[in-house]
Amino acid sequence: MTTIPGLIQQDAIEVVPDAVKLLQSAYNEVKQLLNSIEDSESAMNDVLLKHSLTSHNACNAVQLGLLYSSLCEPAFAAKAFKFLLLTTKDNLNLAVTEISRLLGEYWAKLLDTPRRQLLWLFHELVKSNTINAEHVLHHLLRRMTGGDLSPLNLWLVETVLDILSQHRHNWLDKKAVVPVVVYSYLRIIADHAAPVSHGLQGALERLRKREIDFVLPLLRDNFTDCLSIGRDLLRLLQDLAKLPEFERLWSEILHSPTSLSPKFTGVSQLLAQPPSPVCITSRLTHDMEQRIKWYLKFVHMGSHKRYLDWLTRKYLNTPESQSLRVDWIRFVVTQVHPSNETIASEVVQRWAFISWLILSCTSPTVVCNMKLALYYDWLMFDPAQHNLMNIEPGVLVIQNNLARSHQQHLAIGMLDFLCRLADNYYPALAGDLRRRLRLCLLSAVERKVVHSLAHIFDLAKMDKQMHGLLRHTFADLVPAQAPQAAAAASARLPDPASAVVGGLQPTPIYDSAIIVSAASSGVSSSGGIARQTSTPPASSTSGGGHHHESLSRSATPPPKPPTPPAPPAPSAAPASVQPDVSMEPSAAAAAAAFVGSGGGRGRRRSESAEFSDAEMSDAENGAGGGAGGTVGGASGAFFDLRRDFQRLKLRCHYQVDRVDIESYLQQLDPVMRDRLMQLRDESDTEAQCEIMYQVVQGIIEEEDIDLDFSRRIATCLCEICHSQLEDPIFPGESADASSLEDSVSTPIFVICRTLCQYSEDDPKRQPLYLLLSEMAARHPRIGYYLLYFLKVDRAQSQDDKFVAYKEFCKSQENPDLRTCLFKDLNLLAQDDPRLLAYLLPDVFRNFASQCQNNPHLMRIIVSSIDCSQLQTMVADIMQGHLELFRKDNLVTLLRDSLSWESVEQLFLWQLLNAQDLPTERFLPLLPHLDSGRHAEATTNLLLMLKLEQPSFDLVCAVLWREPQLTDPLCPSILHFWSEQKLDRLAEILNNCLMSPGGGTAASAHGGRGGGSSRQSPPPLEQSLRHLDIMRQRLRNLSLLQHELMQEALREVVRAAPAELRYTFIDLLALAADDLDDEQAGGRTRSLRAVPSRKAAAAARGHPSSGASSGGGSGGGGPQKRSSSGATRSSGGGSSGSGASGSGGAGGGRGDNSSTSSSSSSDDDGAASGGGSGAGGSSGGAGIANRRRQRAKKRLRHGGTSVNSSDSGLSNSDIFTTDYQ
Amino acid sequence: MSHQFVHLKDLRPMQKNVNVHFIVLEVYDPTRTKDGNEVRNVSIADRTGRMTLALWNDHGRQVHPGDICRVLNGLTTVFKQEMTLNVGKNGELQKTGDFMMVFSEKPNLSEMTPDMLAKMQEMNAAKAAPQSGSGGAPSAGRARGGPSFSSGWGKT
Repeated sequence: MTTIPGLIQQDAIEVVPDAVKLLQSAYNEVKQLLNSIEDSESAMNDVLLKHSLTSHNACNAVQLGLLYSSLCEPAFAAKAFKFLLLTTKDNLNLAVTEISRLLGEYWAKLLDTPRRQLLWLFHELVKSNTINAEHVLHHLLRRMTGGDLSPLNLWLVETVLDILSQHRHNWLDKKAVVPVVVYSYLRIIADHAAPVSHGLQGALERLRKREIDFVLPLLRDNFTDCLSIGRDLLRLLQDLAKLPEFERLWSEILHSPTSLSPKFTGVSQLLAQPPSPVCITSRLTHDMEQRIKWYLKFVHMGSHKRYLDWLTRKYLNTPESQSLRVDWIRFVVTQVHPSNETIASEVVQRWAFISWLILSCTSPTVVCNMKLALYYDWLMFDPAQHNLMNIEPGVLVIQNNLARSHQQHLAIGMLDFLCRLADNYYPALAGDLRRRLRLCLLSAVERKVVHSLAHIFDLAKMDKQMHGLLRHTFADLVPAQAPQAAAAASARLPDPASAVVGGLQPTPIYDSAIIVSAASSGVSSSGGIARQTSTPPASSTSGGGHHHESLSRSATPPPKPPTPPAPPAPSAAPASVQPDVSMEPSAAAAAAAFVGSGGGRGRRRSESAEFSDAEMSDAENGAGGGAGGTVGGASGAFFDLRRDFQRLKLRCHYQVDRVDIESYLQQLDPVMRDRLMQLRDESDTEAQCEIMYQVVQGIIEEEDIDLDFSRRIATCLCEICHSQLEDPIFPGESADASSLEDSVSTPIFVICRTLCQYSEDDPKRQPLYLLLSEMAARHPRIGYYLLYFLKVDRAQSQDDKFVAYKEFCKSQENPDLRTCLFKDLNLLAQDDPRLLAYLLPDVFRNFASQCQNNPHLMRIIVSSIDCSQLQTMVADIMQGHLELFRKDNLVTLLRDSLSWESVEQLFLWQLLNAQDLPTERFLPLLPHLDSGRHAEATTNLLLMLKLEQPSFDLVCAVLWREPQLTDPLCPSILHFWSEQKLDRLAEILNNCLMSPGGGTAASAHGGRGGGSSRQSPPPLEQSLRHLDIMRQRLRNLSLLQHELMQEALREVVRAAPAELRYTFIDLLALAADDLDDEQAGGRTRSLRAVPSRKAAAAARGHPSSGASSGGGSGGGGPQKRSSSGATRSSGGGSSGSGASGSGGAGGGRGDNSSTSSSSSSDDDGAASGGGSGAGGSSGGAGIANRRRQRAKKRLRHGGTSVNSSDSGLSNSDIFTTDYQ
Repeated sequence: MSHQFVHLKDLRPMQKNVNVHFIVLEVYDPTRTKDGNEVRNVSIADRTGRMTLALWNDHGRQVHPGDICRVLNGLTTVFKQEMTLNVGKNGELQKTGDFMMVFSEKPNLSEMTPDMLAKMQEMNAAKAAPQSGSGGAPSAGRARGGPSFSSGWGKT
């Protein structure tokens, strides 16, 4: 064997990548084929062709070998490439995939020759017009990193430029390629146009000129295609607008867009176009993308610092590389959208990463560009079309940095930037831009990215100039400053902590805008007003940055040229006015929620952010404590205010208009008129009651009562008793009987009292019902007045006193009792929650079927009560007066409650807990709970489960939950039970694992949906996943080490299908140690298992042909089953069926239940399958090894036509999943 | 050869033939031994904790913070009451990647627990008596020793 020419350069300790090994072995194969034949090209070709026809593998080997040869042997390269073309059967798919992989993963390690050859190969591919050349081009473009002026990168840029411009026509028709090429080169040109200190200047200028000569015509000729780049095209072009070559293009974009493309209507069209993911991603190399995505998915706050150091050292440590940060921000903002789970977890969030990128940047220009990159999607934001996740990091950067005393300057700098951006970025659109910015913030509140804007427009932390700026841009979103806030500001600013932290910063790394605003806020503390007034011009130039200048410079001077077809501003205006209006209430609601109760997801989020802040900086502790104190004080103040509100009973919800009753009075008969006028003029309550009684008697005695008559009377009575209906009636929970009696001794209650004097079926009641409902139509409070009276009045019999209310409802326009009742209670809840709590026991007793478990009513209750009413209600429940819930169908209410405000949910759970409801009634809620979004319910359910003893049903219900690493519920309760009742829990889990449920999702649903009284255990895989999560999250694994659990796990190792064992290697390894020992003893007894061993080996040989080999392996089974059946009656049978149901690989092993003899045969199989004689070590590593090998095989043989970057990714994914 | 990898937390003093996978956190300045070898202490971690690895000569020059490596057939020693991982004569150090591995800096697993110290003394005392069979099946011996150690470990 000859020595192989090298491909990559590595340290001795680095493992040769499998991909390279494969290439090298293929190269050897090809070399051996060609060894005997010298020089004769046709003979060589024949040999290669013949060989590639023998098998698929041989064909691939020839391709890879020739590829390797053309990369590493320049002398032979031309021939090798020719052979490559002649022998390929897949349009060079395989070769292109490998080239892309080398580019994506090993470019930095490639030796010089292979690197040169690789570009030569690309040239050949383009020349021969191969379909797949564009894949390689994509990877080459990604390799041309921004912010990299190293000779290697410049060489790459120039060589690719040569190839592309030489063979323009071979790739130009590929429309998808042009935008990426344009975008990439525009970005590179910006690097080459920036001033450089060292001697590169001349070379760079030459290169830049060539690049511009290439890109500019390309862009002009394909402008329509390039529109698909989206708004980032504009962002890059404005960087270049100062170059003379781009001046004309720029002015055409601004002033005569249609001359570039008939489809191009102007700047606002481009701004509204979301960026192309391919273009954004093309500015990061494959490994950058991989690392950033991984970092934002797996790294927890706390250990993030080292990773950031490593990122810096690897990518960001040269002065030129500063500009790469901008590309990273665009990528993170638009392409990395973490799941809700990730957002709710402790994983580093995007805003934190972006804040770090900005804070650690040393170039003011780049910082400005980074801010623009962060907020670029805000400019034309449309909530209906655009993704809020592009807005989210920008909002959180402001909110969360503002919350940290030493990074407020960053947040304030951002706000400052936003304001100036709206005004200066494109003055023609300034109004619209401001509206869009507002829309961004409102959407963020509406979608609970932030809980309210209070933490963003925290005026106490800013100076007056900033206030003005904010109010100018965000108008009514900015709170009017309260006098206390000003006081707080002056008290806060001299805060020594921030001064110290500021002084500790070793280098002035912040951009000038930040420094200006920080300085001005510092100055205002020492009373330097003169300085403050001098700042605006300074910060408007520096804060605006060169971007705005460039845009506005070109945009403003020409006195508004006739804008072609659709002038953006007018067309956009009506569209955006509307959302503005519709957003208003939601903002108000959010603000109200903040004042009222707080809670919701936004709140949780900010808390978690604060938590992570604490980890990020130790120095903050003191300041953090102070802030916490003020927050507590504020909420206390809110609480007091709320109490006051209730005491004063500010009835702001509706007002009844006064009416002039003269005309009505005139229509009545004289007797009635006189009485009513008397009533109106009388001031003594008792006398009023007397007159009222007469009025009521008059009504009852009236001969023909018609609707008009009662309407007139009702109107008059309402007007006369107006003051009584507006005043509070309820003296308080603690009032004694006499004051309650007093409270119903006003004229209005005379009607009720008279009503109750007559028996139920007395016809004299009817006119009074009519009167009451007519009054209620004018003054809705009558409804609950009646309820209150019925409760307080002791004159009537207890059993049926609320019949009067039912009848009253029937006589109303809408005679539905439930509607009526809810309407009254809703009003009552708003008017006086204390009275509501007082009435509830009777209401629920008398209208149980209407009220119990009704989500609508429950929400009315919990949204209006506060802690003291809660206390009353809980006391009522525990004394048996109040029964809010019934056992059946509780879940509808619970599910409905998941969307309520936090505090409402918490109250609900308190009430639920007060009533003694059986825990199993809550279990159907379990599958619906998402711990990220439903923390309130999850927590309470967890606490509820804590009080229970573990039982089979409970554990099954818990295990039925979707297993998720971030879900705290399952591990917590399992752990708690394992501490309390270890043996019992282990026994139950043992049962679950030994007799797993149906296994398929469909049967699982059927089982749960049926609401059967007995829970069936979940499929084995799900239970295992829960245990695995428990293993990962908890340190104390006494549960898993319990004898019964060990037994169950060993059983799984033996009986479960192979895929399951791969998935849960780590978990099963906990039982594997003992398995080793058993093997040693068991080997001698393994004779009886021979038939099943063969079957298992056969099944394992063809993992995909499970169905066919399942039958064969089943044949080995029955002879063992008798012995297992003897030891365990319930477990053996169902585990066998479960295993055979899920694949042949497991079928053979399903029967090897408890004796150790069969386990040895199992392990033999694993070892032979892995082909790597693991010997004494357990099957675990063998499995992992095989899994990797199989995955590799999949990569190599399957789907070579698939986008090569995908295959590269999945390759590395194998590693991350193994070791994360 | 397939290897069974163990977590750092499962390493015990004086173990042989261990396979571990880890990420490099810190490479400290070298010290020189009397016979001219360079020894670097390297702080390594996986998701169960942090530990010290001692690397000799070239090995020490080839690893950098952020590298993901593995040691095959390594051994643990105790030096100044700290458990240290070594590559050893028969062992192998391999670099498999960088950056993308989750780790935890706590606890410092090189610090010996009282249990371990007691066990060490026991072992030292037992050294006087001849050891039989331990060389023949080191992995089995370790596997059996593992659980008993870890149960003590989990509670501390």
